[in-house]
Amino acid sequence: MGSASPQFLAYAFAVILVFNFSRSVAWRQFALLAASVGFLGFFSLHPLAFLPLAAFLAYGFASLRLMQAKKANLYAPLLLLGIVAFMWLKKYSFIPAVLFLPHPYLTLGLSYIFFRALHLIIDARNGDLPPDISLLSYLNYMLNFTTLVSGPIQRYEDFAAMQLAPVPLPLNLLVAGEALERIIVGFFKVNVLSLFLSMIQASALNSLHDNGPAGARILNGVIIAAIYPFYLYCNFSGYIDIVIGIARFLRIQLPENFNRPFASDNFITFWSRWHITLSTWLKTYVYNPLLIVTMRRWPSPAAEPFLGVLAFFVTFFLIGVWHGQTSVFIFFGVLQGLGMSVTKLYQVLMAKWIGRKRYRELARNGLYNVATRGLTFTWYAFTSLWFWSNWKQLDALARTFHPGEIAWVWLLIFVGSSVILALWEAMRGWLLSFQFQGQPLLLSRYIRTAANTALVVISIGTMSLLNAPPPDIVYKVF
Amino acid sequence: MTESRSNSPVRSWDPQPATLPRRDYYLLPLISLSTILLIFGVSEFLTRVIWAEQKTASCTIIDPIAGDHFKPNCTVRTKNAEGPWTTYQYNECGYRSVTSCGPKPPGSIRIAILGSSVSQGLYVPYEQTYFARTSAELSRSCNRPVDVQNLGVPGSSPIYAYRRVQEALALQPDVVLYLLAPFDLEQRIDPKELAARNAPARKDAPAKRAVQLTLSPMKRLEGTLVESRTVLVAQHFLFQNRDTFLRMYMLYGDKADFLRQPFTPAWQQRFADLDLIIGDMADRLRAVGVPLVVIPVPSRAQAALLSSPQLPANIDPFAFGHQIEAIAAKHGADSVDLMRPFSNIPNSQNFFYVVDGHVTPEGQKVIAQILSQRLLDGSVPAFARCAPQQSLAREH
Repeated sequence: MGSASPQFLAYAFAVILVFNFSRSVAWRQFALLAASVGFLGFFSLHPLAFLPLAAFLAYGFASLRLMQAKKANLYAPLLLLGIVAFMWLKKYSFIPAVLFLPHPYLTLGLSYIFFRALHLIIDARNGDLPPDISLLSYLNYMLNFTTLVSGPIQRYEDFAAMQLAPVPLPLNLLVAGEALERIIVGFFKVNVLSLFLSMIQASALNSLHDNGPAGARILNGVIIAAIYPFYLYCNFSGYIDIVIGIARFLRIQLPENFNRPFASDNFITFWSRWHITLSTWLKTYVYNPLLIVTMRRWPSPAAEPFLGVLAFFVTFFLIGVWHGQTSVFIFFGVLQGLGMSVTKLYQVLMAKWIGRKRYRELARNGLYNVATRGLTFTWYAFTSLWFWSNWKQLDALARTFHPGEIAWVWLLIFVGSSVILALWEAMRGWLLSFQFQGQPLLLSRYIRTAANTALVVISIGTMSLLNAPPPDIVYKVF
Repeated sequence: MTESRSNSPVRSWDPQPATLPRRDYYLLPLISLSTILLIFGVSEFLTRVIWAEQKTASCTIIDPIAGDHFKPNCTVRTKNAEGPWTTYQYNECGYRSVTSCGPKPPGSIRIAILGSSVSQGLYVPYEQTYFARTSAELSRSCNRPVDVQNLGVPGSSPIYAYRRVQEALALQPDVVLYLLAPFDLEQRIDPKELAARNAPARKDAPAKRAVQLTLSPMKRLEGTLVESRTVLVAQHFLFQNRDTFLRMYMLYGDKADFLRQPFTPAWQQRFADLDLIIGDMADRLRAVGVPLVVIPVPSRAQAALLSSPQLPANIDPFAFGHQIEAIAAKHGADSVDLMRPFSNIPNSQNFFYVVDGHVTPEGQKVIAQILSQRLLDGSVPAFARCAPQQSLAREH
């Protein structure tokens, strides 16, 4: 079952009907767990395939209980055990293959279960969690089928506050309408926009010939590199829209994971708007502790900004490493870390050289913003090459272009993205400037009703006409 | 950077006010419905502009006895949504031919063609039709004019083709070609009509119209959808995918049963009826020494099955052609196998208009090549002397 397919939606709506049969906490917990277990059943029916996942869940629950029982001496070994077990089950390439389990097993959602497990262990040790986390609540938090596949990563306290509340979140007509709107928009993003964008990129890749004219090759290079970030955004944020909408029908409010990332004018802002819950998790559990530890080790105010640069690099290097099991993702991590740390270093040095006030003024300059927005997009598009391809494909791509052509490709992407994103921002601002009853006309429920109806018709029409299987979610494999 | 402990959502889920104004209970569904209608309206308008279609029967004479035919010296220009603009020019006998139907010019060879839309080359400009191409090829090979008189009329059932045999013979043809596709047999021939095929009685012509006026609302809605250009364009794209097309086509029952083996009793009956008609047709032509060549033209479904990597159980795309060839052979008529050459061409389903199902200009070209080759192999006496010249031409 595709993660954003009509079948998934049909399953989710069946669950919504059953879930809302009763408002009692017990019923809601039982219904959600049954729905999550049922969802897993779509991916395998072989009991052996679930054993590693079950063992990892058992590890998480046992560790949580041990931390709540104040067994502080087990804290580091348990964290280490979790990290090693995760890498082993995900078959990281540096681990000898002979050590891997011989039979096929399910790793669906393991990465997100891993984050949730570490969050529970760390916060339980710090006493930040409620003391009475039952096995049922734990399993519901870990396996919630709306967040299992690709997040978003919700904190346990936020989840429990809604799931275990005696009075569930209200579900009136307006809320239902907004939830449905999220599902429709997400479905359109995944099944229409991302599908077309992937087709455009695939077509450009197919028409990339060594002996073609240089102009056509450069244009194809621009399309190949620049389309992917938009494709990934539509694919991933569309899926998140869908699960946020579904979860709201299940009386759970999931955190947002995207906030117009391509409007970012620097790479640090970009990562605070892109996969927000992952970057927030890493900031909470990697960046902040690392910064504190290094500041204690080198307690100099002058060194503090540079320690931040270092902490940024390590944190976002880990983001890259988390994404995949091969060396290409290590390089992806290095590039993410470089993007973040160089941006931070630039901010520190500019504030030092021209003064904070003048730097703030510069950062507010419209033309400067246009260029930095384009640069941020270009850097992300460049680093994405190590996200969607492997070394062999990268080698083939590099051989296709002459060095001068590669320079042209990135120059065109920088100029093009600067102009297009600036125009987009300007048009968005202009459209939102029209007011109706104290809010932008474009956001009135009448316009939104018409727009969402159109999206439904276009989605159904496109899916019927193309007759292609719905695209799967890129982040499902992580 | 500050530590963020809680994933506070960016947007609020508790919109104010908590209830909708009363008018919105009517307004919002109305907006939704209007949007759907607007989208369909705009897409229908755009598809009607881009996929223009013009069908006119201004040259057609309705004749329930001998079958429809065309007005003499009439010209009409029509367009099928999937095809090019096509001019149909009918000669003084109402045949789709550029030459006169008068006495056969001395030294020329004449071919008469019977059948329905596939015979007529429907939706294909004259010079691109299989018969115009065949005529040109044979004229070159025989070093003398090969004239084609096309008596084909769209919608003509085998019984109507049979009723025009005498008319065809009056043209003094050297050979008569009879083309028929599976859809020509979809409607079973009325047994009374079949029995009285040589002395037809007057039919109740207005009866057909009376039936149309009593259609149920569902049937009318179905008819509207069938006529919708948006639906046609949607089908056009959808059915370009061979597997989807076949999956949908196989949902047909009786209509697709000519592909299923063994043949159903209904199709066996159709072939039995055709056996009688072709038998009589061959007898009458043989009596005056004119050879009959029967040509089963494949449908798009058959062609799609030919390029399908795996045939479904009990499906035989060759069965229809084999059956027609067997009937022709039984009555001493010749036949042309188009299926075998089609099976050697990858994706031969592209030789047909996707939704309409008639043969495209590209498909007509292939049929013309196969037909010319077959007529020049010496089996048809009129072309017997052309074959060596053809070989000679190839050698040179």
